[in-house]
Amino acid sequence: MSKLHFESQFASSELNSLDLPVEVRKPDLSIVARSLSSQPVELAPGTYCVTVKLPAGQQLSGTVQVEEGKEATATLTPEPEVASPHEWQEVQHYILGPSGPSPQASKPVPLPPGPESHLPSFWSFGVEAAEGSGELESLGPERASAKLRGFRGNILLGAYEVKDDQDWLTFMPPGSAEFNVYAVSPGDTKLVQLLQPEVPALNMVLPVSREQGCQLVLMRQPNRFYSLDANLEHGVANTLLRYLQRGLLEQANTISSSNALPAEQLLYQKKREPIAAAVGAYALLRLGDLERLHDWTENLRNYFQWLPDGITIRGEHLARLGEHDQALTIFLDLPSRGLPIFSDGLSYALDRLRLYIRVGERSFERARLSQAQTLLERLQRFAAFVDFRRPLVTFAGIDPGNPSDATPGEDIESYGGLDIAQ
Amino acid sequence: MTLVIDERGRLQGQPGFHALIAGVSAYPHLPGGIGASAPDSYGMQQLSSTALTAHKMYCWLVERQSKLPVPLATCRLLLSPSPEEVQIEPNLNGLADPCTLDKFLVAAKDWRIDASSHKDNVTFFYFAGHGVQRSRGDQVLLLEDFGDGIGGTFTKAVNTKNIYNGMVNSTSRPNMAQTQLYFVDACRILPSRFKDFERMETTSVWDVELGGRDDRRAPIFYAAVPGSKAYALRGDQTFFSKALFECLNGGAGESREEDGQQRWYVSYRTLSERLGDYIQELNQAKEADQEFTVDGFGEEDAIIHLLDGPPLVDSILEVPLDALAAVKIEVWNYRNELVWRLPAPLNPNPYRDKLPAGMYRIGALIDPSNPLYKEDIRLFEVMPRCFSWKARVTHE
Repeated sequence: MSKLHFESQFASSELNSLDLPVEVRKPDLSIVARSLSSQPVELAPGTYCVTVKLPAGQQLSGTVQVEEGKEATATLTPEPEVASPHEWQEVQHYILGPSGPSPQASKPVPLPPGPESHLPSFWSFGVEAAEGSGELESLGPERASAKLRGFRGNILLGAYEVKDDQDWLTFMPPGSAEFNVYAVSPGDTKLVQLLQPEVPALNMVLPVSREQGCQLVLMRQPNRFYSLDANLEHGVANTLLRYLQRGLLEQANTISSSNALPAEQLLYQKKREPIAAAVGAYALLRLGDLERLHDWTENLRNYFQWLPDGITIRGEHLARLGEHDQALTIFLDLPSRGLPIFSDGLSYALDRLRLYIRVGERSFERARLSQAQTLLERLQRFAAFVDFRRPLVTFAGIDPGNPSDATPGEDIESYGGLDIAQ
Repeated sequence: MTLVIDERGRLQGQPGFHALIAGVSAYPHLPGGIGASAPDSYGMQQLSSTALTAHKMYCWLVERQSKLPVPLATCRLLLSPSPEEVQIEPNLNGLADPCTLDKFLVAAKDWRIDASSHKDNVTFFYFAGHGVQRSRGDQVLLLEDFGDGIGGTFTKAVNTKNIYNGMVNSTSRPNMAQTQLYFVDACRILPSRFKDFERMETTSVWDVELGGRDDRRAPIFYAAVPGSKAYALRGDQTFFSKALFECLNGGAGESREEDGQQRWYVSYRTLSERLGDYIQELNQAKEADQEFTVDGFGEEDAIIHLLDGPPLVDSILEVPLDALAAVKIEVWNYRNELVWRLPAPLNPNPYRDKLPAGMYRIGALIDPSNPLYKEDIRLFEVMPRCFSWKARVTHE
């Protein structure tokens, strides 16, 4: 047997430092091993295919010859046809991928070619108009095409306010007409709102804490409206989240079953990363791996009293174990923490509350059922406008506490906030 | 007749595959229907392919029954075809009971009884028809008699979560099948007026008993993500089912070694991985925007069926135009057998054909020798959905 190592050759250090799920196959394509790119595998001598499927759909492949007693390395390089146009865009290109049409953009436009297939990316970035095109230019200040506003507080309880300062958000150059990235600082910003003329405002719950920030990504769609997304600060958690979003369960399982997201580090060490831990927990719930959840979902809930997903994760975990009474007790505590960051959490809360209300007094006290009904109604007001395609809770509404499809009109200046860099 | 396949006698309690398939195209109380008009149709019309789609799914199960993970034990089929569908497929006539509420409830009840006869049973649920959301995380399935004016708006409708929650292992059903496959092929669009009626109740298929530990392998494939539409090819089949069949018939094929033998199979995880690619291909061809989502959970993967061998992969080979006259192509499989020899000039260019999935050595050979070009010989993994190769014969 010999060791096979893996080496990815992206342009950026961010991608090269990511631990990606790798598949190793024999020439007849039967799977012989699944591992992470940081973890070599032991193989018998022979020829092997090595593949990495990225969350955005691209595939890196290579073949390698393994000889007896000699270590080998499989080098995985993106083919030119699927490579990112720029180094600074690699995370967005390979991990996030182009998002679908903005749900709030009701203006009918032709749809783009498939962004999530194995075929080369159809997105073109940085397209610039020719100089001296002869087009008229507007005199005087132009209206912003889009604005960003931040909100702090508890959206679910209606105790929230818009942030007056813009310090929480920093544009990260270079950017392009189609693609802008902002750094969101750690702090108390719970939700970001994207305002655009004549389409419903888009709100997204932010995966940030007092200690951790994130990257906010604005992508211009073919219909010329922007869409919102975010990269988590924790690279592996971010990658895992995107694998789950795209239904790449085998890849998600490889990451989850490895030590890439160890609860011990994420919860108990000095630099605690509860958001990454939440992603790991959601993955295990999605994959049904209840054994590996142990009791650290209880620790996640207890250690981070501000984290709404600590409630939904623990509640769902208990429900899967058949501890429904405890699960309901946990879920009823959600309003004190606010809207979950992740869509899975909101779905779990909705589904379990509906179920328990339906089961009714056969299993639960009337008073608690009444509380459950109140909470369900509160969550349903948001759920009606949530885009469940997105992994982060994203919903429409100019007033985040009162979701709706109402549009802000043509002039969005009066709403304040940060103008999006062009 | 609802129970169209019944092999329980032959299996004698051994694990089996229990299917419940329903397809509704003809809604008598929606516009164009033969019954009294519904008080409100909510903008919905007759359908033209969903019953056909359900029938195709039934036929597929029958055809592949020897390759299912356990023997096909029962299949309950409910079909409400349109007259046009019956013209296209006369076998639809009288094949199965219509998908009314009463018939659906009886079929579901019996299906669940069968499902709970053995933990190693596999269940299969497929619904194609109108679907509506009450809220974004909730799918309501409209049955044939929807809109008959009897009872509330959703009396003649059922809810996927209720079905799903009622299939959990419980005290009264301790041997419930632990592998359950759900396919919901319906719109999830939320009519704006339904938002005002969030508390409208569907008919319960059954009372839900809160079970103990729930570690089923029970993925639910929804044809359309919340708030979006599911599309169909009129008089043919739904987009979702078209993509699903492509995947089931090899597009989502995966290979592993078992007892020294190579086995190709399709599982729910490979389906989850590849279904989106096929739907996207349809979207591009038809300028649609359908998506799908998979909910549910499972610690281990579950095989849906075994393939007969490596799936055939659409393969496209291309030579740069300026090198056409100089380049011939040879394709060798992993057993070193020559499978394709394509002389220069490659015609057509690109060349398209199918290769069985596997590892191949593809050589672009310069013959006769030409200093302008260099040979390009590389190994490739050819896997579904398609494989694309372009010769790199020019000097950089």
